[in-house]
Amino acid sequence: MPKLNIINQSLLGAFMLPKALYRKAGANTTQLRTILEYKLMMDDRRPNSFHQTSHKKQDKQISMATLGTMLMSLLMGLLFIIAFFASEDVLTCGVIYFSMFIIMLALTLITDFTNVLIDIRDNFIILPKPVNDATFVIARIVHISIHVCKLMLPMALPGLITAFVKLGPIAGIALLAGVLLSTVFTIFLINAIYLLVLKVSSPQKFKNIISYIQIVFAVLIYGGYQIVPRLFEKSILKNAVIGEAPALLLAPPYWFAALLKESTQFSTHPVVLMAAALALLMPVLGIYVVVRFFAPTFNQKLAQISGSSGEAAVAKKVAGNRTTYSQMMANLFTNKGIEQASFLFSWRMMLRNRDFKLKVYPAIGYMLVIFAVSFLRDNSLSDVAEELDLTSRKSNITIMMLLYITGLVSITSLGQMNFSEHYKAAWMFRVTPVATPGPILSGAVKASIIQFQLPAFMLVAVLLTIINGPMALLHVAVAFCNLSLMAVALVMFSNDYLPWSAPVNKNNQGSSVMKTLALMFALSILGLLHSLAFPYWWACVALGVLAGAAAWFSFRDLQKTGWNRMKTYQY
Amino acid sequence: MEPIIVLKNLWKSYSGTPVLKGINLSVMPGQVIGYIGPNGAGKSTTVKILCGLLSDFEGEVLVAGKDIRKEPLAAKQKIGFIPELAELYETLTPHEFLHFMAALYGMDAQVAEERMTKMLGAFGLAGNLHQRMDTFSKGMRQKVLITSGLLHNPDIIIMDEPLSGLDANSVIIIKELIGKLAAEGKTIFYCSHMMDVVEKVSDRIILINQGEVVADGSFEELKSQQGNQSLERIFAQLTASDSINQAASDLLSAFQ
Repeated sequence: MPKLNIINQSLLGAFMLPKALYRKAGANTTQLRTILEYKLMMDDRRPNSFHQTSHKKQDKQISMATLGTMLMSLLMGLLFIIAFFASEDVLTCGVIYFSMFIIMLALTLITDFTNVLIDIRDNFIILPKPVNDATFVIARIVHISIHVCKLMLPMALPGLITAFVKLGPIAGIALLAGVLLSTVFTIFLINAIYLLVLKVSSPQKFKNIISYIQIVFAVLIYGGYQIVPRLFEKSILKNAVIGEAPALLLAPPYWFAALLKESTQFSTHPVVLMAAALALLMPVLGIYVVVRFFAPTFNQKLAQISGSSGEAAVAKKVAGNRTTYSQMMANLFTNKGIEQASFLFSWRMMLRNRDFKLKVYPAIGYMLVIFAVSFLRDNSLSDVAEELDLTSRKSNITIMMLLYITGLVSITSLGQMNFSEHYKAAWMFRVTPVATPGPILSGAVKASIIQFQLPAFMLVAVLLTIINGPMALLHVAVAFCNLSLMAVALVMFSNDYLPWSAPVNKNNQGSSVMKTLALMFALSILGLLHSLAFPYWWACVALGVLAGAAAWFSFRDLQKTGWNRMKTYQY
Repeated sequence: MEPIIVLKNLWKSYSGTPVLKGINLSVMPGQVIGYIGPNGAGKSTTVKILCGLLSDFEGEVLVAGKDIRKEPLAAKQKIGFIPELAELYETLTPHEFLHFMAALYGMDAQVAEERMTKMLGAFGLAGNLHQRMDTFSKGMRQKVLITSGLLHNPDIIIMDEPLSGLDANSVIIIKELIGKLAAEGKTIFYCSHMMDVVEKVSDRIILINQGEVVADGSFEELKSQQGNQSLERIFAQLTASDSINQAASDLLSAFQ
């Protein structure tokens, strides 16, 4: 007998109530309950969508994933309360609330729906046993329903309480109805998105698309928490009223908001009435479409996603010896031989490794959010130009931030490029006659700098040059030298593993947090030096030359790193 | 003629437990060695030591006259290692992976390009050269691994269950390839559980059990010592405790 926690236990109890109905549909309720018990137990041990992008590491076994998921949902739900204070207009509040609710629910569900929706192990474990189709199908439907409830209920709860207290019990009930209906609609939406994506791409690419959605998700949450409260401070939204334009009927959150509106201040405006009708109608229609048209092809399509090898490897011709951007960069910046090979290897791994992208791309997003937040103080573009004007005194700090915050991405990428789920493939470094791992390391560092740091700096350089003329390039160059020095130092002092050869779960986070902090400290020292030198061009040149020379010598040192310092999986 | 692989009194323990207890072996160039033994006998440990992956052992190991601990690079250059269904960086294409391997061996890129094209072509993978390996079947991956072990034209080829995941036709190719490589003077060190293959391809079979060599000789010699029976039976006779026939009956008795 699997042991379930109280939440799973009670949800399962609730969903098992219509036993007679299940039996009538042909299900064996004893088997049904057993299947669900084990599925829920396994859910409790699986990392959820919040874990996947987090940098935290779970060394201990996951056992209360359900509670964690619900807690995260609750936290998000708390953010939604803001919607009720955003405007005096109920309709506007409703639109904001349901926009957040639908987007967040959809993103959460998309990321772990594949795990829940289809479990190909079912094919080997349940299907060969004497379990009939009705039991199997109902088990799947109930399982999905329980999963959705676990996310949706805590997410909706804070809003429901707020509506109940602020707008009265009728509004509370209307919001509950709206939440349930919009959940159904969201499921329809996800089904549609899945099918669409599967139609235009292969199952292999599907996983990549899902991970991009996860990245957007992480950045959205971070950005939401950073930006939304600031918008309130500036009361940009305070007097906004969404109105009754017919075009709003195209926006699903508007339908459910209309439902809320009608329950508090009944409106006879045709658009609002129509929207409320759509709120009741569309989810029902959605369910019908899902059951009638989507479901049959859906399972079959999804089965391919988790299939062992996806589509059979089809032979294809690929363009021959054209020089690619990466090859060009490799020729420019690396020594021929092992360093160059390692550069190209890491370059490709960074572009293709799903785990790496899941960890590093959000950092790029966070960086953009930080930019946005720091410019949010000024609303117009001319203010931004003033902010970045080299001759003005207060520009110093903003420019420093702009330049050095890009280092975050570099640090994250260098920290993450050690890890790979295929870390065992690192046997290749040990069986080959490689005298020192130095060139492998330096190639990887260069790849990271050129793939991430360089483009970010190009952008900043262009922006600053437009505003200030070529003089700005000096500061860009100084910062580039500083950050390159940092990158080498990071690898020299902290990486015990060759690139892509540490197991993902060996992320001894304790010490690496300390290292990251030390690094941030070092980075701020360099930034401080730069900002002290800022007003004097000659001081900047001196700093740049020093940092550049230090980076150069550190690189040469790195290339001499011996095997004794490295840990690698050995086959 | 000088032996190409020499193991002298090779001892190795993992945290106090001895895994290899004084292995002595010398292999002549052109020999095909079938290295067999039950699970935990020390086969992979021997392979790891020969490939230079483990250096904390006692005794002496010479590969092509080089001490594996003193001149690991020179020794590794002579060896081609074909692991069993090893992990690969599967987001790379075979072309990218093999070029990377070639660079680690210090090979000329042009030579590597020609060889990999020919070899993968011979395996029927010419069209998959630029396709990422995450879509490959086990057999296709194993073919890439075999290519990666042969690419730098090594004198010694160490194979650890090289036929894993290969279909029947590819097995035939590899078996013939082993014969041809040996005829060219290459030394093959073939580790496997598949007795029928070992029986056919090896000129010399070395059977180890609990870290010691318990039989060493050609299949004919082993048969004359142990009675005229299959290698599988000889293997069981020399390595299994008396329980082997009992096991099946014990399993069945669970129903009673």
